Amino acid sequence: MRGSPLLRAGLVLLALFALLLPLRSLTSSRAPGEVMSEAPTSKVTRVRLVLTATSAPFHFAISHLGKVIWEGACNENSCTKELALPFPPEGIDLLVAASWPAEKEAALRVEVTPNDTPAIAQTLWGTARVDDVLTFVPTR
Amino acid sequence: MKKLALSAAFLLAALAPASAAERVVIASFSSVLTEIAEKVGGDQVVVFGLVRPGVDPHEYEPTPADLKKVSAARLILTNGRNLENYLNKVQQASGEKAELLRVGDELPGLTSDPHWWNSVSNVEGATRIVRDALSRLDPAGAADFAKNAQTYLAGLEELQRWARREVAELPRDRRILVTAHEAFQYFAREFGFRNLAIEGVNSESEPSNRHVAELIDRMKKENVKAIFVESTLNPKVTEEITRETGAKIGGILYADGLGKGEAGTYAGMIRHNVSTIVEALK
Repeated sequence: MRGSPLLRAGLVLLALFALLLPLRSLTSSRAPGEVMSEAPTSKVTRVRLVLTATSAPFHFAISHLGKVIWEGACNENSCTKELALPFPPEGIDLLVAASWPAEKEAALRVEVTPNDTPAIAQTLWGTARVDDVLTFVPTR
Repeated sequence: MKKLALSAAFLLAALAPASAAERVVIASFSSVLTEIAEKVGGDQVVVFGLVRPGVDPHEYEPTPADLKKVSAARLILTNGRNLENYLNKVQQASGEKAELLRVGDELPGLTSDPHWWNSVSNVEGATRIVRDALSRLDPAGAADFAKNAQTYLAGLEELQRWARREVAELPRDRRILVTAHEAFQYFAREFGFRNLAIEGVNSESEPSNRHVAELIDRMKKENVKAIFVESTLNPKVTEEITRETGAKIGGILYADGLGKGEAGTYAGMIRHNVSTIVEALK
């Protein structure tokens, strides 16, 4: 501990600075006018999606909050997938698009089952294609 | 210049030759209803839009020139839901000879909020009401009115589809719409928002300090990112709310009917409002 006084002073300053950071976070509060952080995101839940169409094959794309979460071709009348999605009590909106090769009326049933809650189903009708937003709100 | 043009249109309607004189003259006290009447009526009607785009219907009072136009009308379109407190004057001017249609009173499922036009579904209902009224007054034109209404309704359906897709980009638990006055209840219901308002249903009423304090408290709890204003709102109140909550001003919304520029049509107004809300709350 007999180093140069300059070195000791530097070490003390470093120690003080290291203490300052946690102290600041403990004592400071949000200043008025400061932009708030993002709203707390809702809990991510396992969600089972089932698409059932009146005719097969069909192509589809399902989007949630502007992002495609499931897309592809379904060669049978029904296709299923499990996904992890935020599912608030207010529910979710899914943008559902599907198309069939034949120019005739078709229907697509979309069934959503959030973890441990009853299934919620909605149906879209269209000629050769459907493309709309469906809302799924938990029933319990 | 506008007054001159309107007077000229009025004179033309009144002094027109027999075929044109058979056109149904409509006096409209709503900028949205004026657009509906023009689109559905086509060239078989003459529409006097008395509450013009950008005019606050809460503050509008008919002038003697407006009442003169009312006296020539066979159909008078009003918002209803007690928004117009001058209907006695209108009825007097009309001499009871025109059909007075309070469109908002005919729409199903409405509350005390008179701002029914902020829901596209309600405007679809209003279009059918205007179509039926015109067909009653001019049965010979009913087929044309039905065709025109169908075209206008198809546009509204497309608008609604577009709005649903835009709003779908917002998580449903973040759809909290804080607006200048309580004019977006039907919009909120249609798109899954909760509507908190700074002022009441009428934009002329000043919010109490207690109401503002409660609103600030709730906004903090709900972590609301933005509030939406109108040109009529006291800026001091807005400043206090943004300062206390950290929320930003999300933009100006058209609450009371058509505006100017991009909001000069119904579709433009809805597109502006939806885009402004989604962009600010994303």
